[in-house]
Amino acid sequence: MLRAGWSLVWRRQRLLWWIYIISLGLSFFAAQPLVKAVGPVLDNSLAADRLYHHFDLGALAELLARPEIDSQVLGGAPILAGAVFVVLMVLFTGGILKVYHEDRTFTTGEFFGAGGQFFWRFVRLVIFLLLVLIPVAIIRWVFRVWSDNLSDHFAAPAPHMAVSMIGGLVVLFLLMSVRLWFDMAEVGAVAEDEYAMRRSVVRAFHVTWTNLRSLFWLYFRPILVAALGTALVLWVWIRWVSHQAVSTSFFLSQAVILLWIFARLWQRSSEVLWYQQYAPEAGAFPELASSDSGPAMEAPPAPEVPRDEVSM
Amino acid sequence: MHHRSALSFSLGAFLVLSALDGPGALAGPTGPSASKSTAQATAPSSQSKDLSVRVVAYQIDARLDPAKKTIEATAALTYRNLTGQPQQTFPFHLYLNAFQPESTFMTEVRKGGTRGVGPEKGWDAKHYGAIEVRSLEVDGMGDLTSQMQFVQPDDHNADDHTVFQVTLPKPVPPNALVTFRMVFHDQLPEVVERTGYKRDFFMVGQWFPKVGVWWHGAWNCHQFHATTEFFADFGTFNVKVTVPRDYILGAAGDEVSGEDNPDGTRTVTYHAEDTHDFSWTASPDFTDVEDSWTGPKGPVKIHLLMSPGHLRQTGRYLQAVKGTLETFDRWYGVYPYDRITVVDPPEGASDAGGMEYPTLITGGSSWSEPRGIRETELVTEHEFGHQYWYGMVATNEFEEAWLDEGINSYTESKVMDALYGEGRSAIDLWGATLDDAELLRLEYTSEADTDPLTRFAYQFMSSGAYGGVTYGKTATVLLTLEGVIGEDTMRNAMHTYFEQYKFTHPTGADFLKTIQDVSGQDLSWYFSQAVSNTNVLDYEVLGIRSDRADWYVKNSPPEKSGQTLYRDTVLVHRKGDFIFPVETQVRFDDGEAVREKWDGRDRWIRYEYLKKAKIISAEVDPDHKVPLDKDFFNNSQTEEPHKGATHKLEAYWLFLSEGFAQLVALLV
Repeated sequence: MLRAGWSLVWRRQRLLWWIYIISLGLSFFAAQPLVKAVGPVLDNSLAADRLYHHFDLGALAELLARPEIDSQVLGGAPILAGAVFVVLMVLFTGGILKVYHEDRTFTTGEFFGAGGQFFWRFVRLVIFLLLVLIPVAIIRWVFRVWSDNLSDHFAAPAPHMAVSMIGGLVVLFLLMSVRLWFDMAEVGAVAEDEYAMRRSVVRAFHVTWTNLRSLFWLYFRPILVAALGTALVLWVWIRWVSHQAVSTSFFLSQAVILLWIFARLWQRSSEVLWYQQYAPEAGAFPELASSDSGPAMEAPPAPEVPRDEVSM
Repeated sequence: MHHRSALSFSLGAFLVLSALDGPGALAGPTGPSASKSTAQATAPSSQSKDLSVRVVAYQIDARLDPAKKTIEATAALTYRNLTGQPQQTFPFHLYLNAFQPESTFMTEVRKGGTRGVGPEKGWDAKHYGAIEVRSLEVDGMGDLTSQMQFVQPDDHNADDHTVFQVTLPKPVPPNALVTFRMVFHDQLPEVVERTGYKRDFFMVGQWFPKVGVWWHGAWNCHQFHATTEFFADFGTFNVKVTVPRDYILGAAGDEVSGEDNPDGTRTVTYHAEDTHDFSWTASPDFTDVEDSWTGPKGPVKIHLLMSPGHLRQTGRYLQAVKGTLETFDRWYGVYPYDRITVVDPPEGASDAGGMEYPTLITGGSSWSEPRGIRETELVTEHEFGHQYWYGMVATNEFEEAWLDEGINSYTESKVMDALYGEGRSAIDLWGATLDDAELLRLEYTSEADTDPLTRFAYQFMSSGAYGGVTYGKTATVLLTLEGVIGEDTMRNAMHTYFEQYKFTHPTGADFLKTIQDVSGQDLSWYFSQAVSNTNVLDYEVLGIRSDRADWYVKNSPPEKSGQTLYRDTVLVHRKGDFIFPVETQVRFDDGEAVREKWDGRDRWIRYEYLKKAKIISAEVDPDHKVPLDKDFFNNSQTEEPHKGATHKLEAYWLFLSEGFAQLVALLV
């Protein structure tokens, strides 16, 4: 299933590149306030060498403490870019899932049409997601209070660190599970063209709960691959790349971003393929054995696309 | 006379003291505090090994109740009147009373914060601390408990009880001894500011009534403020501490004896001499690590008390202590004591860390601290350095905090560079570096113009200003001074200052005079600006320009490297109000570099050259010997922009922004 998902992402890699370009573009604009603020200070100063040929934290701290560097503006720009990116992803997700579901090339109009079709439904799903996160936050708080309590009673850090770590892992598992649940809700909504998001959420909960082991493993492996890839890139960057190799550092950092976007799309495509193969008919929720080697369902034949149309 | 032998033969004897010349021997009283035995002194002799003038002799018997977090104690203080005049009124510090909501200390903490406690933080009852003197008798003068009165010499806050004074029925003549016998009770706070408990860990400092210092013709006994530390006379300490038998003790003194009691407790007796304070720590969870370092005076026992979960940091502590011992010994002077106790506070008790007491320091570590972040080493070095400047030179920390914290911060930066590498002594992790001197400079630049070094510690604009000026600015002032007189001369001056003034409570004037004497230079122009005032040092290259000399000629030949004549100009501007001689280096595109010297007095200076070369850069302080310059970025200008650093930061910021966007997009 995961291999099929990978292949699907590769076949429809335009999605990957478009998302990456949008992310890069938004972040580029988010970085401009910083460039405008530090450029006049650094560009004609020999002291900039402390940041160019080295990475002197003192020089960085001094730079950021200057009155012309407005930390609110600096911090606000990425937040704004992030918010815009989230809205765009709400818009695109319907189109992405439909592309994977039908496994064919979409025209621009088709893609945005699909996205628009599901936009408000997915906004409702985001709201439901936020509500579901409240109990997760409560669980996090419970672990923290427990850990603080242990810290007050035991001199050794082991008990409270253990509780903190276990709590962290539990919360992380819950967060991933909730994300998986809502991924399946989105997949189901697109597959069934479902309008009632509450129904979609409930159905997805049943599907996810009864197949948690296989689905979670399907969901988790792309994250593992991305994490390992990131660790490798970081190791190469720290070990082998000189401070002044800015272009190399840039390309390595972008490779990491691409890797995580790919991993996310890989999750989505695998979920779509899993749903196509194993989704229960309405009213029936059989327990299924975990398998990622089952044959993917054949996608419906792609319609012929005129060569001169822009496609997604 | 060696005080261990004095202790044994003076049991039951009475003191007879005559006028003494030079350092005198003042043996503490021996035996249980209930006895009326008093301290005795021996006449000075050429064989006296006293390091200090011993004004005080404390004999304290203390019992810890771990459940109630209290200490019941008796103290006999024998005070030798070396003030040169009869004394009838004696002030005492009661530092623990600062941990009450209406005290001056807590009021100032509420306003401005201090170590680990910020403003607007509510009162937590578990931070309540107190010291109550239940009775006070003076030998030969009776019970004077009712004569004790709280005083507030600094701010007249009647609710502040950190100083009391007692007036005796008759004065104590010059050179005579007077013995105060006190019964007191301590309520320890949960550790908030150096002292207190956390679970069953106890750090007990500033816990007994401590007599003030007769200083320049008057009693010097300030209230305890949010930003002040301590000042006391030298003497001897004989202290018995009783704790549950399973507790491990550490103290600022040599362990003389220890015995188990029938009630499940253990009493350990400590002796210390030529020190001005006594602190101790206890916990059943310590791991006791013994090591030693051998210096010119022989072995120094290192007594390291590690807390649970931190054992992997043991090597870091030991390396830092030994390295600092060796470096201080080589640079500044011999460490005269035979021990140093290092306390590693447990998790949750970090407010007890980072503190110095004579021959006992508290450090700070955590189980997760990576090696590239040298907080453990930095704190250990800093607190050990205090053994010299606070412990032995012992300046007045209330009124001239810079002489201890500032000088110690300066020597800290030097020692950290020597031990861990210049440019990376504080942080060296994954390619990111930070030098300790730069860290101190950042403290200074954040508060560059608020207060002079010489301000009383409790009169700074804020606790941030106190920290930034006392620690950061002083260290940066001395590092800049090093650039003026030379590193070797500066080290020699520090060594001379230590040797000349140890155990004598010198002043800032003594320190500055020592530097001038050793350097042979009149440095008053520097000290008047850097020490006594708030002048800010900031020189900048305001502009560079290369103009064709034949600019007015129509159809002049095209520019040709090495052939076209240019009028080159560099404009240097004194942006701050600190006048300092500076060098400027001007580089040309033919490879030549010219150094210009300027006395820095005027507001600006212009350098002009007629050369067949263009300027490529100009830099003030090219050797980076003036860290006191508040802004390094304006010290230079290049003709051509080099956007490498900007692009690098842009790439990093871009990556962080993208990562943030990806994270937030997980909502979809």
